[in-house]
Amino acid sequence: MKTRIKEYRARFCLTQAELAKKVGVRRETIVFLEKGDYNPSLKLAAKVARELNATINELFILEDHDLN
Amino acid sequence: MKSKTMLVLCISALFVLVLGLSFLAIRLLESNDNILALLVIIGIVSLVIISFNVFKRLFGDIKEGFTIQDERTKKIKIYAAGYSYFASIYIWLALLVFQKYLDRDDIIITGLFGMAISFLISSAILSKRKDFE
Repeated sequence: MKTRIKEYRARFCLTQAELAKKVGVRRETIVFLEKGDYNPSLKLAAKVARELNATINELFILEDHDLN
Repeated sequence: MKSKTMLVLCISALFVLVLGLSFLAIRLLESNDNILALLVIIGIVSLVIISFNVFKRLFGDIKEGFTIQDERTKKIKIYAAGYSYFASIYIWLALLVFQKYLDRDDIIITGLFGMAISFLISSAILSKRKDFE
């Protein structure tokens, strides 16, 4: 899974720690999310998308092999 | 459960563990098992040092307004509990095989420690794992 969280976070000049605080998760979770190493729940994905003023589809890019 | 409540519970559990291990070390020293006593004391000191560092980091996180438990850490705990359950089955089986050579107390202590350690190891491995769903 690819994510564009880092790009959107940079637009808002937010650090990983600031985003983590806003979303209510640990900083490590944001690190794993940005690398695409963690598949979040729909609720967490929606929270991150809301904080970054984006949609879930814009932030999380699922490729064919992710869906298999 | 609130982060602070959980932290207090963890510190209390650690205190009880250190106290129990200290009594064990004293009992071993009294029965002249100096090498075993030394190993237990080294274990206690390592446990205290590692725990101090972990708790220091967690308190720092709470102070800065971070949560110490989120959906990822909850998932890690659930998976770790599952893996350690399977590991503990084999630990108890192995202890049953060697029960002739061990005291009843030793079997219980080893089994419980084995369960706790297998949970800690599973958590540590899973917390580094990628592609976690």
